[in-house]
Amino acid sequence: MKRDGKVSMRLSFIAPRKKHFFSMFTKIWLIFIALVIVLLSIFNVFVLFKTLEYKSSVVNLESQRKSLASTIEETDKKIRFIVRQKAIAEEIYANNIILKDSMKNLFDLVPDQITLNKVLMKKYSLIIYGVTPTKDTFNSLLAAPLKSIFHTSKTVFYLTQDGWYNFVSTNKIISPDKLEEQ
Amino acid sequence: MVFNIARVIKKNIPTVFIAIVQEDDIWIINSKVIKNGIVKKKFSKSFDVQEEDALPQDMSEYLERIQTDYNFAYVSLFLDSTGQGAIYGNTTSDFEKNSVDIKNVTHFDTDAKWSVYASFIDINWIKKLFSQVGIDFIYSPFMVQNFLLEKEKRKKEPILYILNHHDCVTISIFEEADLVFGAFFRTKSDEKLVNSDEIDYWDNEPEAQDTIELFGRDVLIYKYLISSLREYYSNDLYRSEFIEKIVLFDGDEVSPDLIKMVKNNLFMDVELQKVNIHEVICEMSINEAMQ
Repeated sequence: MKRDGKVSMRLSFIAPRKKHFFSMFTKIWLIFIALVIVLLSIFNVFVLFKTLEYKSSVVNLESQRKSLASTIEETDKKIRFIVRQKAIAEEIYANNIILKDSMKNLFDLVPDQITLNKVLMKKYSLIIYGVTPTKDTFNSLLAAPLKSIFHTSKTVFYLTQDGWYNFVSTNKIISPDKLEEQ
Repeated sequence: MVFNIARVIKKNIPTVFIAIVQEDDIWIINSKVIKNGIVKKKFSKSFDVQEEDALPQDMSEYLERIQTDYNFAYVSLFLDSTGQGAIYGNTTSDFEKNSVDIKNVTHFDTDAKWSVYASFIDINWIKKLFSQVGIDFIYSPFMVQNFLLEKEKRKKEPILYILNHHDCVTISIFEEADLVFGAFFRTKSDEKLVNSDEIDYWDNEPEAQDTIELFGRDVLIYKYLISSLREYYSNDLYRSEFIEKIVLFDGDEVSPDLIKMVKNNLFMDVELQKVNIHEVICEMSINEAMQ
């Protein structure tokens, strides 16, 4: 009947009441505090999670921004290229109109008696091949206006078998660059 | 491991052990504050019993106050109601042999050899009485005796033990660690528990004629001792080995005359041991709570 070493030796008719380390009031407080801690830590975790999420989205957006910047650069390049092309096209168009006008003018200039065989039109020069009945006809009807347009105008006549003249009129204007140099 | 930690923590928290013993019409409350196995504080107070079915208001308040002051409090009570006893054996048939209806008692055994019991009604009555203040342990006088016995060297030959409380006498016969006979008697004069025949029988004895009140109670003890011995020797339930020695745990006051009478008339050796039932109850609760 040694008491020591015995795990449970019953002496009483009834079992003791359950003992609590903390009173009800303390328990409520502890539960409340624990609850607050839990909620705060959940919130903390949430904030941490969100921060991480934002950080990763920042990285994403940064790379997106970079790619967009490079696209913008490329687009700019394209725009510049197109603008240049547009300018060129406009120039060509304008030149064409000018050309067309000058052609029209030229053809308007040519009187009915004179027949043109070939026209070589360059930027600063105009070479006309044609047939004229007389030198005077050419000189009076076509040479005069040509001289007024071009800086230099030279005409060479060749007598044909039927008594008419083949002519080659070489007209030049001095290009604006050269004009400036002078 | 967890259990051990809890035990260590429990040991280091001041715990109050409140021992309640009723004597006559007075509730005597002894409290001890224990921390780490050391008694830190001791206090006691008594209250007059005012009503039969309720604790005095001031006593309830006192007990509640102690229990609020200390988080760990154990309230223990010495059971002195009539409907209790102890028998050898722990089976239903053992209870039947001793004419105890097992269905109506709260019981438990010690080493699966002998049992103590108390009527449901009494236990529930106490539970109800202490429902407001709370109660942890209810101790049978037989367990008190057993607790006292454990401190002694067990003898092989049967010894009769008497536990004398102010209001009751508990008589038991132990063979080593085993209780073989148990009887419980109330001695409170206002209760008519004593068989009138027996009183008549004892009235014829010249010793009983003494006018001293204490002696009158001693007579009762003597009478209960005789009837217990008669029962033990005559009833076939018991092995009826010859008893030479009586150990009297005196928790009240017996006169030397009683001892002299037992020695002279019954030719038995009497050993008187003064005990403080309050202390024992407290010690038992410490033992049980801290194990």
